[in-house]
Parts: sequence; C-alpha cells; structure tokens
Amino acid sequence: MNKTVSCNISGIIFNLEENAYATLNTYLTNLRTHLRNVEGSDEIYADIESRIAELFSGKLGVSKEVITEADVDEVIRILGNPEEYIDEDAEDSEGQNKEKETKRSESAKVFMRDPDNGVIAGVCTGISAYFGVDLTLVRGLFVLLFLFTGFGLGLYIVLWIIAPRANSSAD
Amino acid sequence: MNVENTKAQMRKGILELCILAILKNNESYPSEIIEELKKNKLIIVEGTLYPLLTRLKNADLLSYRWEESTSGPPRKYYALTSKGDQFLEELKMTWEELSGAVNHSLKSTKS
Repeated sequence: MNKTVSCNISGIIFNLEENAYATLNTYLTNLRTHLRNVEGSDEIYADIESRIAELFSGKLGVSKEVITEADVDEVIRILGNPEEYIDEDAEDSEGQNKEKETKRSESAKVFMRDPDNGVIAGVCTGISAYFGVDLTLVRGLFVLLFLFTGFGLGLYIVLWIIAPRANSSAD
Repeated sequence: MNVENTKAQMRKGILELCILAILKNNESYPSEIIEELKKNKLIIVEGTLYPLLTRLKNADLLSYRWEESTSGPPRKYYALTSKGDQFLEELKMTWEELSGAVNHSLKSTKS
C-alpha cells in the first residue's frame, strides 16, 4: 500500500504515488533551473508539462488510476533530461552574447589608472593600455614633457585626479 | 572531442528544416511532429522539440492555435506562416547544396 499525492499538471488532476511525485518534482525543478536563461522559458515549461500530462493520461485507464514511479521514470526517459536538450548558452542567448561583447569592448575604452603596475600612480600604464601604445614610449614622452615644458607635471597630476582607479588590469 | 556531441550538433541543425518540412504538409501538434521525427530517427529525446518550436514561433516562422483534446490537455496545433514558408525554401536549397557537396567530398576521399 502506498500513499498518493494528487497534483494538477497542465489543468488535469493526477494521483501520483509519493515517490513518483518526488521524482517528478525533482525533474521539474531541474528543468526550471536549466530554463532560467532561455528565451520563452515559461512557454517551454508549460509545453513540457502539458506533454507529461498527455503521456500520463495515456497510461491511465479503468484498471489503473495511479501514476507510479516506474511511469514517471519512463516519461522522463522519453522526454530526456534537461541537460540533454536545453542549451543554456548557445541557442537563444545569441543576442545576449553579442550584447555582452559590445559591453566589454565599451568598458575597455574607459581610461583608468593602473597603480598596481605603475611607478607613481599608474597614469602612464593606463594611457598605454587605453591606446595600445608601448608603455616605455608613453613614459618617455611624459619625462620629456616634465623636463622641457611647464605642463608635464600639471598634466600628470590632472590625469591622476580625474582618471578612476582600475580594480584589475582587465579593467 | 566527443562523437555523440558532434552527432547531436549535426542533427540539431537539420531538425529545424525537418520540423518546417513536416508542418508544410499539414498542421500538427507536438506529439505528431515527435512521432514523425522519431520514425526517421531524427530525434532522440522529446524534450529537444519544445525549445525549438518556441524559438521558431517567436521568430514568426510558425503560428499555433489551441484545440481541445478528449484524451489529455488541450493541444497546440502548429502551422507554417508565410515567412516560415520562405524560410523553409531557403533551408531546402542550402540542404540540397550541402548534401551534394558533402557526399561528393566523402566519395572523393574514399577513392
């Protein structure tokens, strides 16, 4: 004798044995997790639930009123596990990936000081990273500005103040 | 490099073409599409179909209508839109080209 749980799947009431319910519940939770980043996830989820209801309905008859764990296992075998059929990254997130890329290249264009790799405040390192110019060249240019013009030091200090500090070289 | 993975990728690309081709001839609900695909060993697990159908529908290639069923929940009957029809024709052409090219290169490496 087994206890049963009655549940509503896609608008139809089914009686499931307790362990059958537990298995199905785990499956659906897992499915939800995999669908998290997929476009149209609610619809896909509803479609799959509806298919489960359809398969269950086919199993029940006059002499069989309860869904057993074996039934649930079979339905899961037919449907497959979410990790087999849901491509979290590839399919629908094409657009999202592109978005991420443009964001990354935008952020690369923000000028930041890099004090970890710099001599004084990382202004030269920041400039070299921003323009993709050789660091020695930038430093040399600044030294020349220090020595031969009046504004080299001033320029350095102004950049020191206005440029935000990078948290990592990746910034 | 996993051969099963490569096989699955190959199948997946062709699956969209097959779904559209099945729906061109007649409006169907998912279980019918699945049956057709399984018959031809194009699908291994049913779950694959649902994200695909939703994607094709969101791209306006498919439309659906609800129909009550006597033996279960209401069914979604999918049909090709005119955009889907065009899409199918293009995929078909690409498939013809590809299968010809692939067969050709497989033959020429054999000899």
